[in-house]
Parts: sequence; C-alpha cells; structure tokens
Amino acid sequence: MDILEAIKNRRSIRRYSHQEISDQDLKKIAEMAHWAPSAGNINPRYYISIKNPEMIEAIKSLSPGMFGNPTAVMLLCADKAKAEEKASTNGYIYSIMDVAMAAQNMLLAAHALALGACVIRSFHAQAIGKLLGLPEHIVPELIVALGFPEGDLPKGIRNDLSEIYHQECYKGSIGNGKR
Amino acid sequence: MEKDNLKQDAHKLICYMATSACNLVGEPPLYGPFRLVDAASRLIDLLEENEATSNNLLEARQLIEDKKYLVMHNEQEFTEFLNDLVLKLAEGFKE
Repeated sequence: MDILEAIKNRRSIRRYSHQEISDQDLKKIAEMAHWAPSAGNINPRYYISIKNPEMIEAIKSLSPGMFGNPTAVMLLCADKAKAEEKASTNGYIYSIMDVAMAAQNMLLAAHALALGACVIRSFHAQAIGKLLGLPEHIVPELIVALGFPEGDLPKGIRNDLSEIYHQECYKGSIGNGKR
Repeated sequence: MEKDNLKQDAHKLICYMATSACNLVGEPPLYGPFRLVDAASRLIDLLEENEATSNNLLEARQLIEDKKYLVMHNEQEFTEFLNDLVLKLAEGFKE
C-alpha cells in the first residue's frame, strides 16, 4: 500500500462487523505506534490492547466519543512521571504529542491491515484509569477503537488546501483570530 | 430481557450520559445536542431489547443514526435534522 494513498484514503470508521481482530494484528499495530517519533527519544507512552467484550462495553460507557461496537480498543497512555523526569516541566506536553503521533501510526497501520479505526479523545480518563487499575502517572490520553469496517466508508471532507497552506509566509487573516 | 441485564444496560447508559455531561463542559457547544440525540438512540436500543418500543421510536432512531454525524461537517443540516427529529417524535403521540 502506497503511503500517500493510505494517508489520503484512511477514514474514521465508526461501524464494525463482529469479526474478531487477531492478537497478531493488534501487536503489529502497537509495533507501528512504537516507531512513531518521540521528543528526545524519551518514549513516555504505553499501549494497552483490550478485546474482552465486557471491558470494551464498560470503556464505551465512559467514552461518549466511541461509536459502534469495536471488537478491540487500544488505550494510549502517557507516562507522566517519566516524561517530567526526563524533560522537566515541558515533558508532559511532549508526551501528549508523542501519543498523538503514535495514534496516527496506529490508524495507518490499521488501514494497511484492512481494519477500521477511529481515534477518540472524548472519554473520562480518570474513570478509565480506575477501571483498568492504572497507576496515577500513567494517563490515558487517546483511545483507538478498532474493528473490521461495516457498511459504506464515510466520505472524506476537508476544506481547500489553499486555505491552510501558505508558502514562505502567513497569508491568512490578521486580527484576534476570532472568526 | 432479564432484570439484571436491564439494570446493567441502564447503568451503561447512565454512565454514558454522566460522562457526556462532565466532558461537555470543555467540548464544542454543538456536541451537547449531538450527545443528547445519541443518548436518545441508545435509550431506544434499550427499549427495543425490552420489547417496549414503537414504530415511531424505531424510525426516530433510524433518523438519528443516519444524520447524527452531520454535526462534524454541516451545522445547518445538523440543525435541520434536530428539528425533523422533534417533528417525527411528535407524530408518535398519535400512534
């Protein structure tokens, strides 16, 4: 699969079939996330895959941004303690960015494996941490819901590139940034 | 459906609603109506499993599932859908 095509054709999938995802595929997705850039090569992130349907249901009830019935979810966590130990007060922000880059790799890896995926931020991190018994310094930052896609793929909608891509200098509106 | 299953499913829905309320404080304003209609759809699921729904509610759920994601790319059509949904549900009083 061509990487440029993969980036452009990937969609957020919110409807899944009942077909189970193999442990091998989940491990491959985690491995691809692991190869995402990390500030200072600190790698303050953890990935937890969950296939237990009851646990997925519990996570879903605490995640308003999760739709459909994913057959697996991947929880992406920042290691706040490690990030702050290695990168001082900026460490936690770096770790969140690291998690975001890992999530994009996961989405593309899932797409390459013919899986559907959707990244989710709307969940209650503290409650999910409690549900999974996470220590306080391991902070859930994103969830990637996974499953084999069902139904039509959603259309990709983006505004025109010229609105957001400027060469050599900023050519957008000048003001207080309010629209 | 067993009473225990009903309790469990109701608990999940209540968790979803409470988490939505908590998160909505910092989320885009349009997510408020979005979560409400999504909760309505989930409630209709629960009613269906307990054989306590109606054609009107099933049609309303279909409308929600077909249109709810408009929130992400077309505010005007999403708003029109919300209006259509209320009108659809109002028809249910005649059933």
